[in-house]
Amino acid sequence: MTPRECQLIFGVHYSCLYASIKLSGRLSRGVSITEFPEDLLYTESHEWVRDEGDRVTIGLTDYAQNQMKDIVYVDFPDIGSVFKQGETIGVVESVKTVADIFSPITGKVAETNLILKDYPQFINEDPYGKGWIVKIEVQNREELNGLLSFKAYLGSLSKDL
Amino acid sequence: MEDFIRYIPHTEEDARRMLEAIGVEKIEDLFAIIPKELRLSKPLSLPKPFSEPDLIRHLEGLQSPVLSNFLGGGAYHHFIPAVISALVSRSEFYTTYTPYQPEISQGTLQAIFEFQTLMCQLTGMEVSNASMYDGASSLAEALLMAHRIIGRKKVLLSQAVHPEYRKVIQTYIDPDQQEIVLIPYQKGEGRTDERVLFDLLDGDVSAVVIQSPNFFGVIEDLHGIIDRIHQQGGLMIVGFSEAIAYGILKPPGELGADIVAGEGQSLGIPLSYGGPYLGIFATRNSFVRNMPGRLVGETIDLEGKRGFVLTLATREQHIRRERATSNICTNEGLCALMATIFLSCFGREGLRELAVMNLSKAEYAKRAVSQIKGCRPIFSSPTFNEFVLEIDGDPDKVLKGLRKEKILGGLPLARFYPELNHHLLITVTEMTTKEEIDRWAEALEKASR
Amino acid sequence: MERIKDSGLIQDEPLIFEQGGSGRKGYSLPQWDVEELDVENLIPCHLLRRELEGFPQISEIDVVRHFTRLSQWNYGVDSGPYLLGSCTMKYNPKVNEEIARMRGFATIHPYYPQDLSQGILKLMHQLELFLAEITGMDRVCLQPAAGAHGELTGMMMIKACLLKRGERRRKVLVPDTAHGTNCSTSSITSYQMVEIKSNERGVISPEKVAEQMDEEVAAIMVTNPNTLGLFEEDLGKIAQIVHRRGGFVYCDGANLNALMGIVKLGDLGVDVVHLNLHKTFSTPHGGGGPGAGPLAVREELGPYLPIPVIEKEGETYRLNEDRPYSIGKMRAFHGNFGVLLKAYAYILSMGPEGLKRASEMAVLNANYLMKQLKDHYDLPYDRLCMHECVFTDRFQEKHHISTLDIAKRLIDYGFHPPTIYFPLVVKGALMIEPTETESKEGLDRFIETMIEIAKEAKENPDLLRQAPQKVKVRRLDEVLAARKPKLRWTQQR
Repeated sequence: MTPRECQLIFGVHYSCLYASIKLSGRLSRGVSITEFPEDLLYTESHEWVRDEGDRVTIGLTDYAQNQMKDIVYVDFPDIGSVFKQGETIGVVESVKTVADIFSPITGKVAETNLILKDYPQFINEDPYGKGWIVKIEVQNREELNGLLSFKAYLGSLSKDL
Repeated sequence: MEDFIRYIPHTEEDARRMLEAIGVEKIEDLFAIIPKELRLSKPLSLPKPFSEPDLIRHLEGLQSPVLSNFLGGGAYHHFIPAVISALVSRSEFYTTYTPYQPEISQGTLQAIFEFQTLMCQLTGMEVSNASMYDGASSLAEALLMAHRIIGRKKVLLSQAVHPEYRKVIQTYIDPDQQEIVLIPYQKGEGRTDERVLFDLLDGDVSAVVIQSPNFFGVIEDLHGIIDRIHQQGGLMIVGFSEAIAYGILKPPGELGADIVAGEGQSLGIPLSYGGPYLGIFATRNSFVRNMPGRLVGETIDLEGKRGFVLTLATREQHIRRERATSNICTNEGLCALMATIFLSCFGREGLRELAVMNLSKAEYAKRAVSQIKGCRPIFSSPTFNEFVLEIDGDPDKVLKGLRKEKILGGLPLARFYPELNHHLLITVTEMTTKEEIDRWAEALEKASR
Repeated sequence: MERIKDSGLIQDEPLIFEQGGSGRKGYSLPQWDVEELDVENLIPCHLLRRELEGFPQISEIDVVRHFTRLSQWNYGVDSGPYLLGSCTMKYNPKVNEEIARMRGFATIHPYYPQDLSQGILKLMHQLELFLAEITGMDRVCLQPAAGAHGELTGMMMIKACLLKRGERRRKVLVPDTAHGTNCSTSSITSYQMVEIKSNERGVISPEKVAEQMDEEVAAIMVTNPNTLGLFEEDLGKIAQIVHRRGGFVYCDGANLNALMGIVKLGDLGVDVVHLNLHKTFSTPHGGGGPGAGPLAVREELGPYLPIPVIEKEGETYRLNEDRPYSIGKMRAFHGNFGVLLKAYAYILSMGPEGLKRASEMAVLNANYLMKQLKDHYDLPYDRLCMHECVFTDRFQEKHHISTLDIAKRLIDYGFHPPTIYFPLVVKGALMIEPTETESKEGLDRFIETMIEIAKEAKENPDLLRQAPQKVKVRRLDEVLAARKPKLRWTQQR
């Protein structure tokens, strides 16, 4: 999702998200802690990427799910469909917002986490685990070099605030 | 003091105190941001204000005379039970806005939920929205939705679909995105020509659109058609303009229709020279996120009590903006309420009896007119409450003759179908008495000599 | 302020399907004066339905009680102040309702011969002239059923006009303060939307427009006053910039209540404007329609108007469909006549002085509210507004109170909340439009309440977070409604 989409969310309390970024990869928010695992890669549009060699798993970061609030629906791509880096690969909806999920790399969709059809809340509850969204086959490993490390992602977040 | 101030309560004293509180001297100062040269220096050129009694007198003089008529073609003269106007005149229903604050709109929301349910039951579909503007735009939106889902270029549209609905579809569809191909009607039967339809049906077609009963009042037989369309991966869109027919006809949902889009004016909504009417839109559950229009859903509140809210709003313009399923915002809420009350009154037995009465009266008229030399019903397929009459003489002359007897005898079809230039569409409802039909047949006979 | 304690007239009421039963009858049909035919003899069995499953069977009195009770759970303009921004919830005159029910209007079929509908056609034609005069435009189309429908019509006409010129422009400029319908309309008409950001004064600047304006832009869609309640002060200059490159200025006329008799949109350079009769012109909102969204255009766009067009020849009025460049039809028949009637009656009741007074008092009311509340609620644009003003929840945030909480607490005090979270450019927006039909006493009561709520936000924020309490249902689980949509009642077997 885009930073603009984040801004467009109803009832967001930016003042709660003051940027005291700690190197442990957490953003303290006064109320609860936002997590960003260090071993993942990130995009500026708030997707996380787990490099699994010939494929990657992607999902939405804790920051994104927090902005969207309760996720109600996920629109998945078809298995086997091919997407270019940056293309919209899916859509995630909460009650009052809709946000695109952008493909972090060019590749073919290998698997989709269909359990989210019945339990979209996994994205909120466990964004890096049960809440994974799509697995994509890597076509060009060099593209992964352009993605953000957790430090760079945190840096980009503090700019948004 | 002018009478209009009963709608604008401010006294001079009120205005003065408010201006003082704001910190400006006169009302004109509030508009200082508008360049002086653009501000109007003289009053608008409009009639001087009418008092309430004068207004009523003036409007009374603009009314049309109410004549016995056999007019239909998408708008029908049906009985409207007194309870409907009594209930929709309650200001808690008609002076409210869209139910965005559900806690104080449960009346509207529950009524819409009931409406959605009734529309599903009537059409045999799984989900219905809270209404569209009218049957024509509803059908146009159905095509747009089919295109969103299937993505193919062609749409096959029956020529027996209401000609004005077809014009609206043509206006809505972007020729760069979709191509409309007309399927002719079968000349003897009056139904959509299946042969031609199957000839044209291929993998390039996103949807086939047929209206039943169609513009000629003929009941279409969709049995053989829907499976073939699905085999080709297309969608079946069924339209209708006479909702009462579904009191006895098999609902399109049971036949496998994918989208049903039609007109609900027959369900307790006044003719009112063409509007406001009621667009009905229903489809399968699997397509719900592609549906236009508002949706009301059931849920619970903090204390576990059942309640209703607008839901799946992420399809709509105020959230999805440029990627919305439609730009519709205000729809036909109060008309949907009228239909809900109408169907609640008539219910299971009543709607059926109403439909049978329409059918029986139309048949009586058909038989009466079959005795007359010089005119005959032309289509062989079964009809509901409308049928096409062929006249040997000049139809305009015949209608003039009927006018002399203060009867509007039917709708000439030449303006819609040039090949039907000797034909009238005759509509008979439960409101047409036997005596009226007899008089009409008699006058028709006289005028046809 | 002493509040009278409200009593418990709010009764629960099941769904209509959960009541009644076989043997109950709520309808009355004409006597059978023809033979009741056997349906199966006329229509093949496979075309007939078995029964109307699930339909209610209920007595008339239960129908009346059911809907009467439902109505009591609603809040309308007749219940109290309804200060929804951008909606112009003004009083709906009752005489207009009576007029719409007159037999010579309500029972007239749209295909009535034109010689028998002269009064009706005259009314519509006159209404067109009135609306043209008020907006300063040349021609009007009464067909669109709502504002969004009018927008669609207008954009289609612009597209047709450009095509006739041989131009295939692809873009439309839309300010960031625009209503969602502006965006979805652009996209339905296959235009690419280009957003123009408003400046720090909350309006669009000519420079920004000039940056984006080129021969690929078909039109700019503006709202004036805009959704922040501010007059687009540079509209004239912007119109020039757009016109110079052959584009059109589309105006969303939803906020016309601020300008009647004060300024004409046509004089500001607007080419096409839609009106919302169910806003500015007092026709009732109906809980979501029906409305009417007539379109007013300059002569240049006249040929593209939808058919039929109402024409006057001598003293006769007729419907003309012979218009070769028309975009076609936006709906069957002629428009929402039952709504047009009411707007016509309203304009005749108000006259030129009345309409001007309405706009003046609407703007007076909004500024009065703004002045009285600005010390208690954050006001992002601190200057004279038009007919509505926008606050935010910034002052209340430190108590962890949001716009939503403020809105819900207003319900407990017997008010319909203002518009919340729109426009999107203001975070936590609270948009208040009092309209001219609100008296000073009504406004003072509202102001007192808002001040009280601001105090509660500081001292007792839970009251807001738990609001509303004095209602039939408390805050509803919208997440559940979206995750597991239940969109109809189903028979339990």
